[in-house]
Amino acid sequence: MINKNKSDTLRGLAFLSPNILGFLTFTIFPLAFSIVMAFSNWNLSLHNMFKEESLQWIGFDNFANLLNTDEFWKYLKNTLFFMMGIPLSIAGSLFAAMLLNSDLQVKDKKLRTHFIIVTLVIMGVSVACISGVDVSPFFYLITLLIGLFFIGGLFGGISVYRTLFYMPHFTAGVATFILWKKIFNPETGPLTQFLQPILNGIHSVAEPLPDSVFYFLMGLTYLFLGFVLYKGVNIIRKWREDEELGLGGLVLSFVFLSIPIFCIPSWIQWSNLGTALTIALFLIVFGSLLIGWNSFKTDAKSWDDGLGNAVMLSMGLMVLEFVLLGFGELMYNFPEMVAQGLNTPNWLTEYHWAKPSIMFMGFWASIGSNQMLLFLAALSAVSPELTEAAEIDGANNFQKFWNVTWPQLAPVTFFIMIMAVIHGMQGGFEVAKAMTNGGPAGATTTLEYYVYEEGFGGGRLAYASALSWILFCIIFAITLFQWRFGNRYVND
Amino acid sequence: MTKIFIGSIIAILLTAFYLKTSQPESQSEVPILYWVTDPNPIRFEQVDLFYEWLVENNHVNENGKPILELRLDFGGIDNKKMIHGISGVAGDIMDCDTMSFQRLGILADVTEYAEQHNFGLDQTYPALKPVIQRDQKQYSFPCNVNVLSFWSNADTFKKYGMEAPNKNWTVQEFEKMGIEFTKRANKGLEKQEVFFLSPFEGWRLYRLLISLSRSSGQSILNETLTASTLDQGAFSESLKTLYRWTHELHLIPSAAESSSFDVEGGYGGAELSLFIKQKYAMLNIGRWMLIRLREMENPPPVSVSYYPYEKFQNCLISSRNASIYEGSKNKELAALFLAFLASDKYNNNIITTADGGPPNPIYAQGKKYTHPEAWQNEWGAHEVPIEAAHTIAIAEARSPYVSSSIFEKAMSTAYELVMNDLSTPDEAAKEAAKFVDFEIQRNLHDSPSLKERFSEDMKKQTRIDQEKLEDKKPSLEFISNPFHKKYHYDK
Repeated sequence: MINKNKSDTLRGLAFLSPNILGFLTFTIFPLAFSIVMAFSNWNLSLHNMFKEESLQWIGFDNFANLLNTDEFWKYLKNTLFFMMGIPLSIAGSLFAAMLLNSDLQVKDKKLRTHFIIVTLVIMGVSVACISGVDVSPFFYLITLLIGLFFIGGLFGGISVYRTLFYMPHFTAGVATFILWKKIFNPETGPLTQFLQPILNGIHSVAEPLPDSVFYFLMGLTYLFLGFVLYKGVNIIRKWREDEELGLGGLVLSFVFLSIPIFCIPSWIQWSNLGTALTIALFLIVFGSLLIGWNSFKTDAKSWDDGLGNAVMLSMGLMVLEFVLLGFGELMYNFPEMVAQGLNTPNWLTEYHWAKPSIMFMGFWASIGSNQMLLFLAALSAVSPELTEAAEIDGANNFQKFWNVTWPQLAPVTFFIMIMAVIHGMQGGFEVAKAMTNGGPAGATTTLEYYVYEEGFGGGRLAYASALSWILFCIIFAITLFQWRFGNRYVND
Repeated sequence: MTKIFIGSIIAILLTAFYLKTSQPESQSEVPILYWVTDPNPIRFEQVDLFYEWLVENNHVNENGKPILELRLDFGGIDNKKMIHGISGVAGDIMDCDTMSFQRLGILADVTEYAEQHNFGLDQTYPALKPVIQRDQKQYSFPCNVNVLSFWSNADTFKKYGMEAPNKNWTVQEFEKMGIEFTKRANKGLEKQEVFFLSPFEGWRLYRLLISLSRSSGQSILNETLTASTLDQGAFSESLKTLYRWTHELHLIPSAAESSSFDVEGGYGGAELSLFIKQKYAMLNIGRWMLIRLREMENPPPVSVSYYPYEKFQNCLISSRNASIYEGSKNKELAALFLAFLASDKYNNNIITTADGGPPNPIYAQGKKYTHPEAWQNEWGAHEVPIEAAHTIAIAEARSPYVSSSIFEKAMSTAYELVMNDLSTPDEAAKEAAKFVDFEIQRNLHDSPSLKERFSEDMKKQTRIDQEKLEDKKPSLEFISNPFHKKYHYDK
């Protein structure tokens, strides 16, 4: 009997051996080797089979040098900037999944005919209007394709739309990047051709208006920004009063809420107003903190109580603060921009536009990605009984979504969030290589691209390994944080 | 199940055995050599010529056939070739940037072979010495030679009532003519559509910046190649010049303007299509652009001008070099290919096909080169780069302490910062110099032997700096930078 078991085990191992060997050779060994490499000075131009220079062990020098270079911090900032698109992409893919979860097929024959006619008429009118402004054939092609997709959906229903929405995921990456390069063409790209007539319209409306209108709008924007901050601090204070928020959540909330204020001096171009705004916003945050100090001092059960909620809220508000600051800045510069004529930006070749342009493309890709598919699967698992019960209780569509659907999607959202963060930290190489070469002036270089540049461009394998391990540590820390606090948020 | 498993293992082993025996090396009577080069269709013709040359020079086996078989490997970018090289699997002959590859130690020293088969430095342009030799050792021989210049489409100038430019011009003359041209060519147009010169990017930008800096009397490296001199004024002036040409005078398109042209590449790039379509009056390119121009039914007349200069006229000489891989098992046979590159058979092929200039200058003297019968539109153009190669051309300075790709990265980043109004030229130049010097220190930190050499060179540099302080010419024996040699002793 023992012999039989032994023989079975050996046979089983023999069957598994190709896989185990492959895993050991191509995964475990390189992984372990890269740790060793990170502590050496291995530089391919000095240490290879044709060179006699000996390899040296340099301890943590690579890590220390890395953290001391401006490049590392610049590219880390770029990577984090791209990751700011993650909440938007998750929202986008959820929205797409919800659309695709409803039956859009028009079953009535007569109605379907009407739909086709209306679509054709709209397309025809659009093309006719656009042809007056000398558009490129590429624009016609895109318009035509959109029309065809729409009609295809009318006949094929939800399956057609689901297939089409999922297309970005199974289209070869580099091919889509080249397509997007065409879309971003500053002269003939469909995006420019779509936006330019709109900008021309805005220009004709804004031109006769006095500058004070825009300064007034700017003032309103900053007032609203102050209001947002005030409300944010109040919510946090209330959580604290109710003993729902620990010290960790409190500190992190204030850090996130304050980041945009710290950015004002380097962002807002006029010094006096920028200084005044910075001071005013700090007064709001810390004034509220001081005024309600007693309520802040209330002890929660532990330091990490309500951390997930606090981070979600303050990060959301942080993004909103940045948006409002940007809008205020836009209003301040608007009279000058109108005087010069409103033109679409040079998407990929302008330093300040290259990153948002690539983010926009990433947004498109993520809508049709596995995220959408996961949400779709999760939506189909939402219990219809609960929705019906909510309906009976008189809930409207938003209430049904917020109180029934969204809580049931929390585990999937949590999983998607973790995967998106990991992917975001590791991403950016293909796009940068194919579309911008990391430029202009390093604007689109991410940490992953930097690893490639150092390892294969400069031959510094040790340095690139150290960089990879630092990247791993950052990802690991973020994931742990998400797991520790996000998981509780989901379960709550 | 066990039988299936064992069967699979046997099948895999048999397939491996079949693959091994069906490899070209196992089937050929003669050694097979690989030439890693660019995907130019002319390479096939050149391989056939090589076989003919082998037979003519009695490099045959007992059957009267060539003693080797040469296969083409369109190996792609330098990075890939370098990785192959250090991994021990590169082709026997590689077209490469010799000095970058030599730093890795993957190129064979061919000095002895060059003496034996007569393909030494005396068979090519003396100005190429820093490109193919280091420390008195030869590492390659040129496949072709190029002097980057501005090639004009005379028809474009004629269309707007102007003459194509002369070969020599200062920056001021260049700008004066450019302003007049763009004014005439874009008259009545809503947006600028025609430009005086094609845009610069990658290595072309890098070389123009070097040349413009040199024209102000400075190199990008010091005399002993131990430190960058990007922050000493000339580079910053070059950035200002390019900014003026792009954003103030609109002589060359900005990155956005050039990307807005809906044109695809092909051999010679998208710029060549726009040159033919008369959107660009001039191209910053080498003689190889004629390969595609000759495909046209009626190619336009062309002329060549050197880069404009401030006070010291110069241009950059470069070459596509063939080197032998240090790990090759057939170095002696590979050396025959380098000897072929110096032969009349190969040089005449280069002349006929316009794949750059011939590596051996004696072949560029006849009418066959200067006045090709079938291509009268090119008459007058061919002599200019060759004349430059003999007179004002200087090779790129290559430091043993830092790779040229670092310079290229630093300089292109500075250029992008200035073009995007993110830095002033002076600030960008300082940052670029800081970046390069930091990289030099990193390399020294990694390599004790390099450090030793560096301290020797630094002693020389101290002497040179002292001489300069005393208002003396720096001693020639201490100078390694080809620009400084020419600037101080040969101008």
